[in-house]
Amino acid sequence: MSAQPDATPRRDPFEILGLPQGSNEERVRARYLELVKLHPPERDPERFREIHRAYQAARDPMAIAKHLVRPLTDDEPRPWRDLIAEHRQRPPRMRTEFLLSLGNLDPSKTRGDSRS
Amino acid sequence: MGRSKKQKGNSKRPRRRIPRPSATLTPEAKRNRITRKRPIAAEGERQEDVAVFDVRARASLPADVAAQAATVQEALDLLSQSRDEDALDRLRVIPRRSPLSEWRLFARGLVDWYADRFDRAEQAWRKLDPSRRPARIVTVLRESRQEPSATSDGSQAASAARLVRTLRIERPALREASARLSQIRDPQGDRIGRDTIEWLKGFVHEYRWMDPDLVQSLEAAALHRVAMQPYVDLFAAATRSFRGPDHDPKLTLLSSRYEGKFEGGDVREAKLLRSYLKNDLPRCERLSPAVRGAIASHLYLEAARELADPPNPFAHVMRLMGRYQPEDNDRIEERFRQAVESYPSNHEAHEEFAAWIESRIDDARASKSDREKFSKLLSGVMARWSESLPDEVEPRLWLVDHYLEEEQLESAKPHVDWLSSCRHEDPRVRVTPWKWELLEALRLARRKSRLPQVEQRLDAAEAMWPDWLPQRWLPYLRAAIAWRGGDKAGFDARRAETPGSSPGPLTDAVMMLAAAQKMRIPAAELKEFRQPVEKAVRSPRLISTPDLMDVGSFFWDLQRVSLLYPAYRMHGSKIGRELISRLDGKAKLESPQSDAAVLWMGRFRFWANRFECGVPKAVIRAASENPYAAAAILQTVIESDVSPAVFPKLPFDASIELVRSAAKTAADRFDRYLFATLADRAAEARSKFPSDTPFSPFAGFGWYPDDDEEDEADEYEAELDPGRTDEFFTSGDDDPPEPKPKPMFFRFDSDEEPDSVPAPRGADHAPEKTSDEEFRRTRPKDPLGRNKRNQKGSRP
Repeated sequence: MSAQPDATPRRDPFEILGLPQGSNEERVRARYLELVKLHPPERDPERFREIHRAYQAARDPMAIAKHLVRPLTDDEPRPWRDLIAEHRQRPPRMRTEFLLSLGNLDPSKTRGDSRS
Repeated sequence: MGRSKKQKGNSKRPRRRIPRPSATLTPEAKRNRITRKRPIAAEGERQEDVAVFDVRARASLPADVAAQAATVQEALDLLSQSRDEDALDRLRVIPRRSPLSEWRLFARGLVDWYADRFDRAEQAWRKLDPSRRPARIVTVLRESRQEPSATSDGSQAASAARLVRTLRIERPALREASARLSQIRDPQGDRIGRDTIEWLKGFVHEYRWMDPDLVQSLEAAALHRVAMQPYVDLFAAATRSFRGPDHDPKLTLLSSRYEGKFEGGDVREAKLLRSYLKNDLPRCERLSPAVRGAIASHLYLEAARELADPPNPFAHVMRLMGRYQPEDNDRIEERFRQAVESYPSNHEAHEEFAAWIESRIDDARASKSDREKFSKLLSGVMARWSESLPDEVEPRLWLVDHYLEEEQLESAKPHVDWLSSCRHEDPRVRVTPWKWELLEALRLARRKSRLPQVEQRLDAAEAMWPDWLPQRWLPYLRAAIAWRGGDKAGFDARRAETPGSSPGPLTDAVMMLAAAQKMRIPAAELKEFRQPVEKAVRSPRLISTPDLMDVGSFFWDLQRVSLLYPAYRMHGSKIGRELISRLDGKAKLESPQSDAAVLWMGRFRFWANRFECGVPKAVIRAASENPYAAAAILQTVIESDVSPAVFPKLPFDASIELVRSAAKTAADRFDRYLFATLADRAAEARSKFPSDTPFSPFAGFGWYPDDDEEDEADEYEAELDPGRTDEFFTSGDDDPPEPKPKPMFFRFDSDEEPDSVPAPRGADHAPEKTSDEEFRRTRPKDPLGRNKRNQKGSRP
């Protein structure tokens, strides 16, 4: 009898946050901040509370550890088409070097390495 | 043929290179252009901007500005990983007057630009200095949103914009992946062949830089599929070629788990797991030390569980028959200890370590010296639990009892004070002052000279007796004090106050024995109290059912306030088993005593092993209406720690509902708390085992119960990858490898005969025909250690 009574049935916090298998602390936090922006407390208080509760549970190192090392065979693999569809909605971010290189001036005006 | 001078002269003239418009570049050339792009400082460019990408330039700047330049670079790295809020947080340290504040504006606009909030991005960017690098980047980003024809003026910005467009809009990686994966004629998409793995290897190499998230997702999806298939050659090919996630970059943990699925894979499984814990995990720097510790703790705990309670029904049967190697207590203890030490805040590790030690103490086979050793160990484990998780009441409640028993009042006092001031919902915590008085009375009874104080303490305890705990034991305690003081007349008088033979002689005898033992009546004198109980237990069929129920109810009272007496171990389970046989017959649950007795039996899973359903028929019948019966069912399944589907006869889900509703309506405070706690734990257990079918070691490999499906599966695999030949699914031998899975589970409580249990491909043994050799395979293996008799060579 060590568990605390809680009126709400427990759902996987990682599922509530929409985090895939293998999400680490950074991903958990980034996803939480992303969801909070989408569902701010003043506009969507109920969803915000759910997200906040899930984040509180999911940020626990033990919860993250269990989520990370959960055997892959516990879940069905996601269909390829779902993965492609998901990434279609998320264009890749630019790497820092590439982004900074967009500010290069014409080669004639540059000095140093001119590999680009 | 010779060449004229004119011709030679012409050939020496440098040829004018006509740049090809990038629109006509091959996909490979485009990819190369994108991956080779580097920032280059322009003539006269501000050093603050150069310092963002060139560490050497920071040397010429004041220290604070150089540090800000490094911060900008870190923030841009975070933005590339979609960690927008972290990036903006990082940039807050740059003051507005800093020459690098331009980059703050740039980053804020970039976050909006990535989220397609272009108006907001423009608002952030409008103040940028056009002569600085951030503004030049913004110009390119703006142009990248234009149609290609409008950006084909050949300027540097237009060329860069085309690259951005290629990267973010044309997305060659996504196009290629989409085209290739759509060719797989696999309706479920849950399998993978060698062609796909080979293609993905090349894809990963080409596009990791351009579309890292997509590449990572596809790698993870491919690894997921190979891990679920039995083809070790495919698994090896995939793990050699693909990167693992942050917590397992070399895929050592995944490989360990994969090896563990095969008969004879124990040695490699253990070796890989050790290597992961020792070498890989400590180097996972993208995880915080807390998460690394928690992972280690969880894995050690899994290892301890597997050793202590192997997930194999054969083990329990064989142990009972004496044909199974006994538990390796030292190794189990070591694994639990490692689990606790790796992450001291792991509640489960402490709880299960303590429960395991208690089970060793309660083991009927344990010697006295073993019991003493484990009792000593338990006190250390509880103390450590309380230190590591000071807000948990469980270890404190135990430590109060223990320290008073050991006469260590100073050690007990802080826990008593903490519990007394704690506003915990657990009713046992709120009655700590009562428990303190009662335990003090029991402690003082050790010396005859202190007996008057014992009475005083008992009076104090009586005054604050919990409203949820019957007081009927109190007269027995007073009678025992009189006996202890040699006051025979007093004893007789007190005994006359006790309920006596109502409702049954066994209850009376048990309560008296418990009081006598708790009040330290010497062993020689205790015989008089022990005899009636032992005599009754020798002929259990002569005990009336109401008497048995009442004894069970009394045991429940002692159990829930942790006051069980030492002799209970000798007859508790015998009385319980007799009660079970009555409840399997005509007996019904129709009194408060029977409700309490059922809770007591449920606490011990009705003395069944982990895979047995020991719940008596009357309890199952009553579970639809009686919350106590439903609670006992939940307790049984929860303590078994297996899927509720292993016990198909038990109405698990309906019991959760009934118990949850009773948690709101029960009159007794203790029952309300118990029901609420059990309902939560049961819901947790349900989410842990969501499947409606009992788990099977073959489930992960896609083996089917029906042999006919084997052929269908082969046909299906042939269609899986276009152009695939059969050899892709083999190791090059004529016959495909047939990895032998571990011995499978069958359901002890089902009506099915063992013959009807689905057999894996290649396994022709039915459980009842299992040979000694096969039984030996069921010995517990240490997931982290070496077993002396591990089979070798049977892994394909």
